[in-house]
Amino acid sequence: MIVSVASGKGGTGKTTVAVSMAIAAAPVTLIDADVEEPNANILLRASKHDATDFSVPFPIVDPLRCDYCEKCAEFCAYNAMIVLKGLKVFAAPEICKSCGGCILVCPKDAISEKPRKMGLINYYSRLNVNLIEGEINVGEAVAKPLINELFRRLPEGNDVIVDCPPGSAHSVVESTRSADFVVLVTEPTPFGLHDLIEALKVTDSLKKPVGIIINRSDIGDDKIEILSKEKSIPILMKIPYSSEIASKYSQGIPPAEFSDYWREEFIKLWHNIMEIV
Amino acid sequence: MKQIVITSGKGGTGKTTVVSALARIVKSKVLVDADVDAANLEIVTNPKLLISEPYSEGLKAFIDTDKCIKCDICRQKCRFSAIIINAQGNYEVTDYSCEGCKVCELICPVEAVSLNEVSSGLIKHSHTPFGNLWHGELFAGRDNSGKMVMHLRQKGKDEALDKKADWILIDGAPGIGCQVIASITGVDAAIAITEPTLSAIHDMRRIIELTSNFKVPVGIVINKVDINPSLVLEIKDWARSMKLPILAEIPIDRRIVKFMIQRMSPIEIGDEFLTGLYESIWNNFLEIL
Repeated sequence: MIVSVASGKGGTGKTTVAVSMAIAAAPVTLIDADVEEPNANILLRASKHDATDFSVPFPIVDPLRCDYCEKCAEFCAYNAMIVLKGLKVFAAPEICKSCGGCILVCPKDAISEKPRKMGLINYYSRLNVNLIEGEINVGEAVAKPLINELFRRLPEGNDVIVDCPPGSAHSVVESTRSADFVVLVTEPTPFGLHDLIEALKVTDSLKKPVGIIINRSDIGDDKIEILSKEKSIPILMKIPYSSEIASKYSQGIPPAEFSDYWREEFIKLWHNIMEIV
Repeated sequence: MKQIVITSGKGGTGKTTVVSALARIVKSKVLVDADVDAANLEIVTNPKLLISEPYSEGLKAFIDTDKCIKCDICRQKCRFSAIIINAQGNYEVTDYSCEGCKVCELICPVEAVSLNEVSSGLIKHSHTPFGNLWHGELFAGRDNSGKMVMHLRQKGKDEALDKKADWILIDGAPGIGCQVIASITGVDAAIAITEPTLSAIHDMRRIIELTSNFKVPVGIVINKVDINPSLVLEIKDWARSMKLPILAEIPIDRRIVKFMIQRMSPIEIGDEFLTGLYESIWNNFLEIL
């Protein structure tokens, strides 16, 4: 079973829920798909036991063969090929999407590819949770290939929990596409509601079963609960604001680790999701 | 005219709340919401929509099943695994995965592939009591878009120049990807909002690495300081070592959320101390500029 934890709005508690659920459901694989700002291991506090470079194919132009015909630049849909006539032809690393089109159009066979490192895949393990984390290099613009690679590295037969990036854009599609169930973590504020509605558009279009967790459930209004009734989406859990949870979180300790009560609640949550699926 | 971006790395640290307060403090400005994926500034600025127009960027491939001979070349060459064989046995492009690279069109031996413009969102221009707002709406599931952010910023800049406004305030997106790079490129300075948690500190370090690459001066706001006072000290030590000024330290105040629910900023609470804190963000910021 694969359960993705998403949210729409950032900072609602995705990582707190994903790591707590992983500790409760262990043994389990946890994927940190928020590759721009991966935080799951701040809460898991495991030591890294392996790391591999993540690279994408990147075009290299042979200056001896290139005759500056500009066909590669004309074809490139992203304007990533830069032609300095008579001097140099090269691809801009952060813009190139590695489609391979320039190689196909080059009449002189002057373009080949070599790997370009754009991030890391880190492996951690603690409390029977195996964490696979994607970490994109600062300055890289496109996270998608790294998110896809994380899903290619899933071990077979294991239950999987995915900590998704915030928002409702394509990277959230990539990190919920293979899920059997999506948990949406929100907060009872107009920002939380607005972004939850956007996230539901993604899960609706992918036809995924969903449930809602309301974090800091007592700080705001009841509009999330009204929405969940209207759309018949179960509210799986409510986590009231607690300065203890906030303070422990700030030090990297999730509720399922410091509180027996919350550990039990996350075990119940996991069984509840298994029953729904 | 100067462009200022409010950024954070981590989501939920309080970017939009700070912008909503600055919107009420700073005179002569244009507002830009650069978080097109979760555009929330409109919730707390009471906007009256002036224009909403479709925004489209890039192309998506389409396979004409009448012409397709099922040779499978496009599926093999697509680097984005966007071409699938559907339940009817026909070749089909998965809209969300297609990057519009045109490789399939190039290599199709029977010209069965064409590329069409796809609408990816809306560009909106609104009047607010605090200055005009350029905001966007990225349709759910579309690629997060640096281009759309640049487009909104250009619109905001044109308006600011036209009206001789002194400032453009840009509400940034979480993360460090294309949408954030597009919100930082070419700004005069940035305000980074963080909170005393290990996650927020980790994410702030990454965003500061990005702003330094662009040589953008940054001031830091520490929000929700009561969560962990010893981490506040750690942030201050780190900021000192990086020569980054701390603009303000803001406590947790439940009234801030109460007022946000009424679509108001912390300024409307009318608490002299709290208003003073948000004013000090701006006053201290003016000094670093």
